[in-house]
Amino acid sequence: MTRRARRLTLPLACALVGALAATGGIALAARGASSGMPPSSGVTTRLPIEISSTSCASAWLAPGPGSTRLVAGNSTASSATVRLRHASSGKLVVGLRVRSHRHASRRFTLRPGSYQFDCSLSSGVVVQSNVAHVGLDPIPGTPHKPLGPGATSAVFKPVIKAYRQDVVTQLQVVALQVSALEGQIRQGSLAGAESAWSTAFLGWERLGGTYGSLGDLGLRIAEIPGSLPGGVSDPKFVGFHKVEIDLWQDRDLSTAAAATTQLASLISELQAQFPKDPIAASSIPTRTHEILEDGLRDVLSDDDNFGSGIELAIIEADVRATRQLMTLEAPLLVNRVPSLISHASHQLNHIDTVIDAMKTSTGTLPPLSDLTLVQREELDSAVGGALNVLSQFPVALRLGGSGGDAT
Amino acid sequence: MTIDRRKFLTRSGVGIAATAAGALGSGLLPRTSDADATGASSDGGYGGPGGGVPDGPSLRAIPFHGDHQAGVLNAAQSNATFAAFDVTATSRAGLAELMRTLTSRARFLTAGGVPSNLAVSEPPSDSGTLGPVIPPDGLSITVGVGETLFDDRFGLASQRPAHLTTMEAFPNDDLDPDWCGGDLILQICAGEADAVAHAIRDIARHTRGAMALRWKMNGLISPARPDGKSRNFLGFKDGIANPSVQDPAVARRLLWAADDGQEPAWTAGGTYHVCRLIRTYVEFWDRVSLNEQQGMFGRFRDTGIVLGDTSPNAVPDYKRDPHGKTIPLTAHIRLANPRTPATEESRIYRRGYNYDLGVDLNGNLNVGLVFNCFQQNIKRQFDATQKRLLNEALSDYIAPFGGGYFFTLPGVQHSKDWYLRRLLA
Repeated sequence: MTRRARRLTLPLACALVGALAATGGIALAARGASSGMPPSSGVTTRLPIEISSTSCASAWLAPGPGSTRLVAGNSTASSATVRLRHASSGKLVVGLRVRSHRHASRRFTLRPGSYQFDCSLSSGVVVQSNVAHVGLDPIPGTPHKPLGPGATSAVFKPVIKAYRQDVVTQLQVVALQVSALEGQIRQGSLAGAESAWSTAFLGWERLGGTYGSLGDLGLRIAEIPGSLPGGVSDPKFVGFHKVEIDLWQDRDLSTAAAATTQLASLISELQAQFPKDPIAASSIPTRTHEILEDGLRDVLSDDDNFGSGIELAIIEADVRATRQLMTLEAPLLVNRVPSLISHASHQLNHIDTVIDAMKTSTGTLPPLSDLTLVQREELDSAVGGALNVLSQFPVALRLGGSGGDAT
Repeated sequence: MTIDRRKFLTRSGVGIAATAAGALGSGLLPRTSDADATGASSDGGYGGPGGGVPDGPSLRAIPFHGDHQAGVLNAAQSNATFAAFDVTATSRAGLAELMRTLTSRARFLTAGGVPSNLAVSEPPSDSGTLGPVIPPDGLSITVGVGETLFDDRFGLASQRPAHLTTMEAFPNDDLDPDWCGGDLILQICAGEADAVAHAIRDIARHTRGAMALRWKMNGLISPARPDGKSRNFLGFKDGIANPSVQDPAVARRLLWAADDGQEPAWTAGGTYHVCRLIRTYVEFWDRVSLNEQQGMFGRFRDTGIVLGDTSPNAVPDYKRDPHGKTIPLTAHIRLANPRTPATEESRIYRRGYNYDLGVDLNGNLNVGLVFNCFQQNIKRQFDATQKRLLNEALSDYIAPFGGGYFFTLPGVQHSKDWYLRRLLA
């Protein structure tokens, strides 16, 4: 599928890791959930947790507000008392005593807020859980208020600043990865070149370059042949996918060498150009779902695979990039729709879980074409479910005005 | 090609056909087609004008003969198929024979009637999918030719329509060669989908050996809900701002091949046809706010009225909105038709359909638009419009992947005329 010009100009990348620490993003709910569906109102939602001698409700995920049944399992040799408290005040919400190697449950009403478990064992051990946030259930399509009276694109400036620096850093990484690819080709190692190509392409994916967000140079670097009059033979067909075809389809290291030299040149140009390009603040909120929209449309459709078969790794990279963007946005959302973060995080964790389960016995990810229909359905469903939640970010983060100022 | 065999069967079975038509026509089938079907039995082996048309769901026949082919000016029927073929006949005479067969089949099918009735020991002459008597059902069969027909196979290079080229890939396209081009295109439209399917099956059967089906896309048009134009799968009304080509003066200026000395004489009465297969990513679209959707189009979704106005007949005044505060500068309607004197001559006449191809590998609905338009000069009109639309915001949600440029042949004027006769006879 062609790299269409995106409505967004802000790519997101795993390169933002450093920036996230700097901005102090909130804790995201950890993986472990198994369902993408939001809890329905009017029903009791099950909240399962486990008590061990070293952990308490490890990686628990907050359900939406409403009637909740806490189900606690105690795997220790001691009896235990688990308590759910308001994270800020420590005020008790619900408590439950669980005998050794037994389960117990209690129904209670969970209201919006931030919560934390503590588990006290009869042996004297006390362990606390992570904090999770419960807010208004983010039903798709529910309108959120804009960021607030007087909010301007300036609220996104810290994000853009961090992003810009990290893209510069990540571009250096990609340039080195492409250089390593050149080295493998020079050595005449097709297998080595394919491995190096995969590493470099995933580096590019983490940069967000495939989302059409790095201008014309970005489009050329990730060009696909269908948008060119001459297709694969078009002299303008350059970039990662040209090298991919040279390696996997044509198995021709000499043409791959020339194409990789062109690729390296384009990346060098982008390194020079990117710091000068403006980034629209309005591009940030929509990015949150567009990263995986591209993954679903272009990768899981198999449109963008020209032989490498690393589709699942690309989706993993998309999930990481999305998660990091959410963390950047969290300070703008935590007091308004905190459950949106936890719910979306829940969905992303589910994608990871589904992909993890697809690993082969050697720990590698199979190509999309090797998945069974059931596996594909699980993955498509997980990504689609996540997108339904992620698409609420643009609404939650919209500015009162146009928000189109560029920084 | 089965033409010779068909002719033989026609000659040998004509008595049976006439008998059958007469029997079925007595009382059971009181209506007769009001189409000009005078030539329907000239070479096709069917009952032709003597055959009645049945009661039941059927639009009236659209006249087949005329200066222009049907399927352009008449209101778009609800169902269609767009079928591109490559000619496999190897000689100019073979191409002419193909054109005569095509003409014969189109003449009969659009008129409706009773198929010839062969002995039960023979394969039936008709698929039977429309019953024993074929209703016209508003069928139109519009034949166009692609640039590749004018290569060196048939000695036609010097007669290529002046503005006919191979469809180029635009920057946001993702063209699949298997879904592109073709020596011929048949746009087949009718009231019901079964009439369309019957027609393409009949034509493919009678021309097998002389042309091969390259790609085919079925189209449908929804009822106007609640009124006005029908909607595309993005939920917006489509084709609102079409030029008034029913006005002969407008059609002469924007639609029919120009009589300007550049076009070969045989093209008079024809028009240029652009058919683009455009996938729409409806799941992605459904995750975008209504405000953003409307901003991308420049119209309100529910009514089709231009943003900032309340009248269904309102015409956008871009001079009063130079910075795009009401209708964004990147809105589809603003780029497609800037409504300036300079762009007036680039207007195209759209006659589009939706398509539904089932499910994609990723579980998404595989649906989209058969963007279908006619014009006098592709370069001046479609190409110029498309280039204004490059990188419009809407391009995130669509992917053109197939189609082609064609020249819609002039009409078949009488019972002895046939497609491309002026060029091949």
